[in-house]
Amino acid sequence: MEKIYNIIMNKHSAFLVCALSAAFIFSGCGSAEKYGIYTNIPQNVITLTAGNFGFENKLETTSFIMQNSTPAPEKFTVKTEEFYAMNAHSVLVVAADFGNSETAERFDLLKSAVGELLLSLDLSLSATQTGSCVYNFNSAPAGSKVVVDANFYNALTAAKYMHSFTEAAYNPAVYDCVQAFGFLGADRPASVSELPSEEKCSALARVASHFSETELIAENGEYYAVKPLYTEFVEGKEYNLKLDLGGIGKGYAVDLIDGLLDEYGFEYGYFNFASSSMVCKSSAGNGNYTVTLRNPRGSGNYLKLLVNNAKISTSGDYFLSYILDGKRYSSVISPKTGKPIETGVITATVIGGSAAENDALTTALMVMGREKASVFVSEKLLDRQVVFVCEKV
Amino acid sequence: MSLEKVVLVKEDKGFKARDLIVYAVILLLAAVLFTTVFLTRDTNPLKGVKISVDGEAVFTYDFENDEYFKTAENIEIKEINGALFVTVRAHGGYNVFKILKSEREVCVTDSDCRAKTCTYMGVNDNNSVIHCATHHVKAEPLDYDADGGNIPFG
Repeated sequence: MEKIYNIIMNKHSAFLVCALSAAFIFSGCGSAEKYGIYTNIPQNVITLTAGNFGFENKLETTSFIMQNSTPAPEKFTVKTEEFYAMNAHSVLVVAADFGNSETAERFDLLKSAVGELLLSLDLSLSATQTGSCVYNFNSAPAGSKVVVDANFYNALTAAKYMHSFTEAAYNPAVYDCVQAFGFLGADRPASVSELPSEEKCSALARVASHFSETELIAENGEYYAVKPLYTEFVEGKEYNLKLDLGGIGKGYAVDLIDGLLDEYGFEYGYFNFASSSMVCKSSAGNGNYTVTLRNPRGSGNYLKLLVNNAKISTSGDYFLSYILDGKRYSSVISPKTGKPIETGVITATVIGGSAAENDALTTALMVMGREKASVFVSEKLLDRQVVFVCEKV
Repeated sequence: MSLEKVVLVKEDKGFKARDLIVYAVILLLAAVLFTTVFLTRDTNPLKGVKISVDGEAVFTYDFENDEYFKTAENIEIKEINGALFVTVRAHGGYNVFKILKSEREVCVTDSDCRAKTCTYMGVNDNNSVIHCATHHVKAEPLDYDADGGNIPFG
């Protein structure tokens, strides 16, 4: 026994053990301890390994098939149309019998309708588009009654519902916080010293906490939004409530475009808005589309989903983010702190139901953090499929 | 230090047969671990990048042969410290793409677009794409196949 003890304690052995540990960590196998993937399908917790976290050849495959579909006839071909609106790129893919002139004309009408809708949504929901409803709302003084349009009214109604449903984890009134951290067209901080102060973040978070006081009025075919009276004065400037509907707007657009696909009679295809919200109808191949979810901490993907006739939304702290002194600052803001989230949930995906709701839910789950999010999913999201990835702390 | 301990320390010096067995086992494990990891690495690195405006290719760069092709006049190219800086002017504005040759990565370092969302995007594998919605500019991998059956999401 003493001999074995001596061998183990020998400094050379200790060195080699250290070398082996370093090799283990640097090879990436240590990431099995670093990340966790949580889903309500097919089981509650799957611990990721280096193999299925980042290497495409070892993807987990899960089916999210909302209803059965039949493969399209062989004569179907695929047409693709790209759009640029709401500060994002989107793509419409439709499979149909385009050899039939009536179908081809119908697709042209669909393209025009989608283009016009996206343009109108840009003029309604974009925070950076001068003259949009959100821009006008944000520019107005506290307590103002602002004329808005139906899309703003409907999107904000959905936002107010999701704010209440998620117990304020989703809050679109964080525009000033998002801007303060260098997003939405603001200059990105070059160093930690350029980040907003704790005092400013707290003040902006207090302003955002008054979101539920925003009133929506529909009368005589006109729509209005009334801003809360609450203001904060910090660092020589007065702040009132301002909106960033980026966390629900793309999903809202996807819901409307899903309606257009139905209205124009196309049942095979998908509309993908900025890889953030998407509606998948049936695939012309075997009925299912294969959707791959991006690895939030590297190249490749971490999950493969087979989807048809469902809407998907995803959020991640890697979408819009920067790293200063080794710390990641993302555009996903905690409404409580007014600062980028530090909850450990680095990406969340929700499937099923409306895309607008899913869009808001993915942000809310990231804000909630692992424990609260898993309870929320098991209690309130029984009709949705949810996947989120956490950094283990 | 007692005489007994001095003897023990002296005996402990140098390599013994058992030590060598332990070292060999550890080194073998390390070798197996590295081999496994390297065999499962992404074997399909970014081969090149294509930049397009309104769907029309204006610039391509091939990492394999370190070659670029400019197919439009409104493109400025500079090489600084092993990185290519490609300025694309479109729809009344500009985007500056930085192509890191050795890292096989592409990013946008500057743009006068509305939300500057493109400056947070990068192309570092065959699934990622940079879009500038304001200027209708796209940078995508040369091998990118949007209709390849998979829909990259997130």
